[in-house]
Amino acid sequence: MTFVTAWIAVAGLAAISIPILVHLLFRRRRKPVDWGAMRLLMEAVRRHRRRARVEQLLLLCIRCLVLLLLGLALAEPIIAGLRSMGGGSRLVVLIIDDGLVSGIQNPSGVSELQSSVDAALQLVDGLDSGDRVAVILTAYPPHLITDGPTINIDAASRLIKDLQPGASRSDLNGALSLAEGVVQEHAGSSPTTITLLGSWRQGALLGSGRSTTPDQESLTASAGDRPVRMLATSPTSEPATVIVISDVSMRRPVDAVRGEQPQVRTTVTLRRLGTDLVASRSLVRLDGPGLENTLPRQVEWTPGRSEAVVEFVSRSSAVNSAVDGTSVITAHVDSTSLPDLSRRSMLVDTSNTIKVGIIDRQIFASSNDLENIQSAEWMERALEPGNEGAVEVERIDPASISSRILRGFDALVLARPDLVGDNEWDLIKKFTDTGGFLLVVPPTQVQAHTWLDRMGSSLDIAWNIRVEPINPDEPVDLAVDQPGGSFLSLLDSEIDQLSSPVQVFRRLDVDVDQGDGRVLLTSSDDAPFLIGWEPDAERRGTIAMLTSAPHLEWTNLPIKPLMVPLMQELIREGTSTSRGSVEILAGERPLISMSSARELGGPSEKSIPIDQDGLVSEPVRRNGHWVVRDSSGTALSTIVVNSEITAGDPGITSPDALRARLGVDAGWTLLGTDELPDQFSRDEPNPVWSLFMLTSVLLLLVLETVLNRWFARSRVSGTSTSAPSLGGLR
Amino acid sequence: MVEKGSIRAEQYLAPETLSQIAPFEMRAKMVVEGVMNGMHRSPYQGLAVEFAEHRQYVPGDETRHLDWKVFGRTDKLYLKQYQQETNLDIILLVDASGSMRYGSLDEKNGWGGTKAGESTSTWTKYDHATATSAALAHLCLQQRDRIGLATFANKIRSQVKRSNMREQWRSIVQILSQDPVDDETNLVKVSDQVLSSVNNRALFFLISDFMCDPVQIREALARFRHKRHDVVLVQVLDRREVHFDFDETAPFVGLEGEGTIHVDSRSVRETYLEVFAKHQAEIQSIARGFGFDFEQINSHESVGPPLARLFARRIAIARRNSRG
Repeated sequence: MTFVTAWIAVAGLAAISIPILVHLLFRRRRKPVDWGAMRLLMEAVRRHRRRARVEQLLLLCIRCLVLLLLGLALAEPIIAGLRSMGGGSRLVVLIIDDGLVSGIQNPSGVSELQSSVDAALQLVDGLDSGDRVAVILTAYPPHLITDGPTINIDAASRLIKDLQPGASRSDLNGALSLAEGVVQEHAGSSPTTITLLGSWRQGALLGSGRSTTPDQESLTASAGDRPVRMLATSPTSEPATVIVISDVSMRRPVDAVRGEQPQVRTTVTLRRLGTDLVASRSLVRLDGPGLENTLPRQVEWTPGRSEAVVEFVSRSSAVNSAVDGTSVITAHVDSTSLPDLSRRSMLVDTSNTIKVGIIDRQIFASSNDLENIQSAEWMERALEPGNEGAVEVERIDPASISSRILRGFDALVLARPDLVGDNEWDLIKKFTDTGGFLLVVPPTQVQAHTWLDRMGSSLDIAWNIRVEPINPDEPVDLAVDQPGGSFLSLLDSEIDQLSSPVQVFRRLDVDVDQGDGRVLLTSSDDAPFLIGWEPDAERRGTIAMLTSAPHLEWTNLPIKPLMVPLMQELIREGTSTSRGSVEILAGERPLISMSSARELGGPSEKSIPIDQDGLVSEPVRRNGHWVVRDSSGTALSTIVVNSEITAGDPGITSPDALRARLGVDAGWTLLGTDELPDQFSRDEPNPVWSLFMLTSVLLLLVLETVLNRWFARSRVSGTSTSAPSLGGLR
Repeated sequence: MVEKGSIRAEQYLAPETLSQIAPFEMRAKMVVEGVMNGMHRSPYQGLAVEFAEHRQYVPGDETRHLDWKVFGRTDKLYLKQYQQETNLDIILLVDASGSMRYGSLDEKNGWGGTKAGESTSTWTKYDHATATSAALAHLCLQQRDRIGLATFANKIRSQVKRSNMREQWRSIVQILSQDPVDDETNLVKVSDQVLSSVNNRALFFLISDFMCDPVQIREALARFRHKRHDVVLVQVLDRREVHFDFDETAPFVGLEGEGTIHVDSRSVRETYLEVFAKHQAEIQSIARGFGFDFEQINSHESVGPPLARLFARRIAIARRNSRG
């Protein structure tokens, strides 16, 4: 409890002492009376005690009855109010589902969240002054929008009124955990109710975090063993269909030509979620730099059809609008049922030139004997097949490695790691930490690959690789089914075909079970051929390593068709990944590894600060195109935020399924939204009953006064009526 | 016990009291035996001034009392009988117990210019009893009746032998000027002590507040009645004892060692008055049962009017008896 003006309370307390002081100061010490007729007085006192006991008992009974009835009369409104809650001021924890699926709109354009908001407003309006309300939103990550439980009902109402559907998935378990914490911390002796408000479509009940929701027992324990009511709105039974863009992917030519606008193919995948899949049409369009003239495409939805793919062909000219070589393309579908899923953005690499440094000794004479061509030379040929490719290659002597030299490259191919000293490893580490891509190739010139330990410790990568390479008895083919993905996504459709002719004659022996990277290519005996380490919290850049050197003594890869696209894609995707532009899901807090990054500017004017550790200070809740800026406002990289498709699943949940999801025995009571406010309104006091009791109180007061005066009069004024007039004594 | 150096008559006897009681004669309601000629009839008939009646002669009677005139007219022998007038012995029994120290008249001076004892700050019941006794003594001595005094509590404390000498009044007042003690009253014991030293019939003025057990009073009066003495019960009460008009809770300290009790005066008042009235009625009933006079005196008022009332009543009774 807080006082508006504490000094008045202090003054009030101080004022209490005044009557006490007056009493003490004016208290008279009774002067003893020497009394002659003591025998008579003692007899009178004895008799009086008997009589007074009866009188006082009668008065006591009347006074007790007066107080009892007065208390009941005054308490009737309170009792009536408490009848529904079982206590005094209440703590109401509202959990409102504002997750992605809550944005589903009915035919009149009103979102389901609005229904929950209306119910919440009615509920809050039914609360009394003194009641506390805490509002928790389920959109990932769940959070309290009130400053803890608040008695400011009006402020809570305003916050609720302004709610908009979130772009992230619903995290019901997280919200309930939050509610549990609120109850544990603030319930005290207040009757507590947790209320879930939502339409509870399938998308809102995606589980994560806790496997089970808190039950009544645990909440009761949290509330100090006071029972906690758990109410939830019943799930909606209205079917809904949502058209979402589930994927936007771009296919560009592998052999991009330097300086030319590449022709790109953008594939937009649409899905219809829901059960009522009737015939309809959708219009899909693509937004992005250089795509202004791309015509919208129409999709015909036949009954029952749930997926459609639309392909756009365009030429990208996004150089001017690109940030660190990337641009954003956004696909839209003209569905208003779930706005955050009716558009989807993706990052597009629009850089024209990639500078690659190959770390090896400079060789000025080229050998025509294929057997003698070194790894670095094969790499040069693969990366720069002609003079007009998008990749520029430059040789770097291991002895000349410096930070100044490395700063001019987007990617490094470390062909002679055995020649790199400790200082140079540190420089390479710094290169990767600041966003460079590193491809490590085993040197063919050494038998014992002791450099592996230095690499592992310098780059903080953990793979158990034997120092000595192994030479399989028979050449080992690359596996027919390759893991692919990540860097090689553009080759996914051809990778199996391209990799099958490749044979491995010698390779580093890698313990598959102990690594922390990803195996991108593997041989038929499940030995890793290409390993990749994507950026993490510690490192911004990407690292990849071939376990077999691109040398014909080790593998025939250099003379196979896979060589060029593999190296090209590795470099392109590796550098693209390392640039810092990323795609995240709504609700996440991305880690920005650029030390100069200061804020994240979003689709709206609001920007989010980035702390010293590179962590965005609050979750990114809005979909779209966010830009990482430094302190001067210069754009450093791009972050694209999309919603999770499954979070928009409009499938209907049955009440039993909801109970099962919340826990069958957890103690939840399902109610309609129209029933909910009644659970919180105080019962109206019965005026007749209160009037009767107040009347009784008045009558008893009169009786008490009369009896008291009668008893007192007989005591005090007895002399005038019954004092003896014996012997003329007056 | 404080001895007084010099006693002035006006200290206990106000002139107005004397003027109020002067017209009355102290007459014994019952015939008392006196050894001196006085105003009161003697039960012993014979040689006396006033003729009483005739009775027939019986052998053995003294012939000197024969009424020869009657014998000459009727030829029958009648003896003359005379009513002998005698002196009245009056004994003042004054209660000097602790309860008599109570007084609420918040003045050193009593009524009519009288003064209280030096050891108290108020006019006590004992002061009033002293004033009453002084007035009675003065009246008796004026009638040449012998008067004696005994003060008592649980026993006789001091006494003055009966005498009708002029100095007797001062002796009586001197004894009365002594302060009362804290002892309680024991009337039975006192009556035994007094009666053992009084052989002739006398008139006793028992001056007390009678704040003792009525049974005790009954037993004491029975002893007086048995010895055929006349007793006048003079009850001296303070006005506050009668009205109990206290308005606050206060500790009440018993003057006879009863201890202290805290009393809510307003609430106890009614009950006290009931008890007091019952006590008074009982005492009066006892006195009436023995045929003794009972008079109450308020210590806040002059002793004259009640004494005058007492004397008037006694004279009326005496006249009625003489006619009968």
